[in-house]
Amino acid sequence: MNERVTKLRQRSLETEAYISAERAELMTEFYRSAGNSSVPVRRALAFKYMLERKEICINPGELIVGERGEAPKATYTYPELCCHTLEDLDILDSRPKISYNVSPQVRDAYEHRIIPYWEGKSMRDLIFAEMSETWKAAYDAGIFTEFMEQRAPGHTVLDDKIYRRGFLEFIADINDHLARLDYLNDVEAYQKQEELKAMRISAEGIILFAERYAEKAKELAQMETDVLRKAELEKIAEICSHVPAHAPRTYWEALQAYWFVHLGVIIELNTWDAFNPGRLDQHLYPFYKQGLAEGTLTEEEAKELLECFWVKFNNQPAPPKVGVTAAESGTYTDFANINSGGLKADGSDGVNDVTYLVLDVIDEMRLLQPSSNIQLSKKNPDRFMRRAARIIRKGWGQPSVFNADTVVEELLRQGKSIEDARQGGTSGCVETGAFGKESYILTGYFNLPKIFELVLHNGLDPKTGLRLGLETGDPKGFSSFAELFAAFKKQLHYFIDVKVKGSNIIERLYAAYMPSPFLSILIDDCIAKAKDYNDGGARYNTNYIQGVGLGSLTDTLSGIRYHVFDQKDLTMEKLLKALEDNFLGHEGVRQLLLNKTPTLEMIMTTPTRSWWTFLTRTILK
Amino acid sequence: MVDGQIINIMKYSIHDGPGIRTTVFLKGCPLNCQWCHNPESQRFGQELLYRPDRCIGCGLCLEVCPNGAIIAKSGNLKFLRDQCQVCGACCQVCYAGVRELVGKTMSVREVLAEIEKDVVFYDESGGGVTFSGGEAVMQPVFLLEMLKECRKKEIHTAVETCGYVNLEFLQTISEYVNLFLYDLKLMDSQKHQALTGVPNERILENLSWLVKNHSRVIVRVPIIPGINDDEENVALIGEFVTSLKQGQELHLLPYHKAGVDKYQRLGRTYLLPELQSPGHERLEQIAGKLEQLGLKVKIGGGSK
Repeated sequence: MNERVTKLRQRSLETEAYISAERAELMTEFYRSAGNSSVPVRRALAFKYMLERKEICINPGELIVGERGEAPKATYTYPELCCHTLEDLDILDSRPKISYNVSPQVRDAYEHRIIPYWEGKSMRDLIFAEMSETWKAAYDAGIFTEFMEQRAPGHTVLDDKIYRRGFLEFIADINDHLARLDYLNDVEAYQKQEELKAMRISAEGIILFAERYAEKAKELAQMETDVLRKAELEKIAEICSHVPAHAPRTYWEALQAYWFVHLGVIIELNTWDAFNPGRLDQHLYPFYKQGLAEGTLTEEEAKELLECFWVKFNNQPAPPKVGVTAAESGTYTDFANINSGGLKADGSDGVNDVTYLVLDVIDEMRLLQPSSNIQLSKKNPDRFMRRAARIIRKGWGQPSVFNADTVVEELLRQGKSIEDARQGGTSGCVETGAFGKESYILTGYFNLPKIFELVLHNGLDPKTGLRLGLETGDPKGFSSFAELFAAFKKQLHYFIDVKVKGSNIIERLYAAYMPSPFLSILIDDCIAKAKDYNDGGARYNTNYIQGVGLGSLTDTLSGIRYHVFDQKDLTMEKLLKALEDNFLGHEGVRQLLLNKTPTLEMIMTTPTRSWWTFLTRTILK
Repeated sequence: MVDGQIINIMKYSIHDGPGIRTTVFLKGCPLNCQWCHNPESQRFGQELLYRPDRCIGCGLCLEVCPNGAIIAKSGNLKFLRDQCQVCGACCQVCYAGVRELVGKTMSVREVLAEIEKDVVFYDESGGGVTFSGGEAVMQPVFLLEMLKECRKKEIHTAVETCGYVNLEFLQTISEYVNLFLYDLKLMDSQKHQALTGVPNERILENLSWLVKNHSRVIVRVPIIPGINDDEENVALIGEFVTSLKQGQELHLLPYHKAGVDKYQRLGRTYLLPELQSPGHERLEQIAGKLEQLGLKVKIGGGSK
């Protein structure tokens, strides 16, 4: 790591995160004076409005430019999705883990301008107004969470399109599709027109944003006294006036083009922060090879640029949550997770020289963001695996390892084409997807042990005494494990239905009120279908409910099956009493369950299979 | 079919032969090494492990013990090991894990089912199953059955032995063993007798036969500071093994204290409490010396 990178990295690590009201203020300003237009066009105009006005920030010494907020670690909020209360801001400011400084000015802006405008108007308000009493009771009891009450959908990853084409070309595409709309026969033609217009406005917005960076770099260059830095700033100005309007010509331009796109996505909405360049090594390789061959790029320069690029990710904290999630989850980091290795679209080994460069950068930078993983295929060389293993063994947690061949298999099973599957990978935590072509909608965690707890209480929540679920029978009356498990399946099925009914409404609410035209430009086939990313415009649309607590559920089922039904050394009455007392005064029962329960392997596979059977039946129909 | 007396089946073992292995520990050993780190493996038949620190005072053991080996004394439970007939009734009811029977009877089929669960790991890592102990060869009929079954399933087999066994047994099983891990401790037979309970002539003779007649033997020498790491013993071991086969593979296993607590749980006294693990430097010296004699030496027990 050279001196420049060391300084940039250090600054990124030392700067404290703070809440910036810039986006919330601009958004409020825009909506106060917004004229009458279709929803997608209004969203696009809001996006452009922000990019025309937001602060432009070029940090000393950096080579890749652009921040989401007005400075590194400025953290945006998204009041149109979910508006922080003053209490939320106080919690974020004072919570012990990963706090966000909240200045009196930000608090003031919220109190006097932002909250008064958005109160009752956010997506969150809309969602809760539309959910059934059953859904709300289950949500309150912690049976499931709902991701989209605070974040927009958009857990997705980019493919190679921005390295081949500039936004002017995307605009040409959009105009093409606009010209071909069939107003005579297609009853959706108007809707499509508005969506396409919205995409065009968003594309213009990002070009304008880059041009503002070019201007700023020029300005700084004129004032700069250091000759070397002056030249760098001139170069930055030249790059920013070329990308992302046009396709990148060089390695440096490729990285800068991606970074503008990244900022566009995370400024438009707070899309689960999983957005990332995906197969960065493969996207960069042609530029790298060309630069080296022409003598315009050295390996050291390529690495330095990549490290400057890394710092940009780490400068963007995750947008913090509201309510109990803000208070208790200690909102973590972003989830940009860069994939290396894997396969090429034609099925051959995807590892190249940039892959090793990326691994070196991971090793040297040791930053929380971006996260990194290797996609390990049997077609990859051992050198790749060894190099990654040498980093992993240092023990700081990156890169993670995925079986690329299994990932491809999984994507194929979900119906993706083989080429799309090979160019896919994993993102966020572990979610697989077809990069640049898929909308993965994460709907929330589903608490499996809680469902079982309801079964043990015949549908009542022992915490509140409220009836939440079906009456699946008094467990004291069950004469076999099969009966108990059948009751569990019934209760599980019931709540999956509750969840899915809610999700179906929430997804439509996003489609109708919160389209994301900028992201739609980036994900195939939104332009071709003239449909928004949040409205099924992507080539592949996947919904997830994330079942959690499988370990606890397995332990629970094993214990009950073994002791209550097989060994009969514990009665259901005794067990329920112990649970009611949280094991106080029942140490023997606790020790029995803890120490004398064998791991029943089939016990884990059975509920997992039930989970999948239900989910696929309900969702993939 | 004869059942086996098993102490434990350990998954993901990487120190008992190549790759990822499942190690089956058989109970009972003809030796009584003072430094033994698995004292519960020495005796044949079941034993009771006792960990009073875990006791929650529920008193269930008191109710079920038919031999009066547990008494309540001023609110505490006291264990009279002399009275204990190792019937295991108390272990059945001891939920807190204070009382645990070590040693269980398992059929060939049961053990095989456990081994087969990890075949995918053996295949991927070049691993397999290791029969250890105690002394695995002391249960020759069971062992032979196990080995034959593993061969049928194409599972790589290793047998770890102290060598103090009937040569005929060794000869009978050797056809079904892919790898012998053969322990060699002390060359002085009197000292061997004093510290392990038996002389070493038979061990040396059996090793001679095995090295000459079996394709894959690794000699394993535990390095126990102050007991067998002296220059003379090291040199004698080196000379003896080289005389059997030039370039013979030999592994040095550094002594460790992991088993010391178990003596207390068994109601026994550990005779070598002062003993420390050998330093890496010393191990390197010994390895260097043995290599000079023409042996292929490695420190540690896992290998390819």
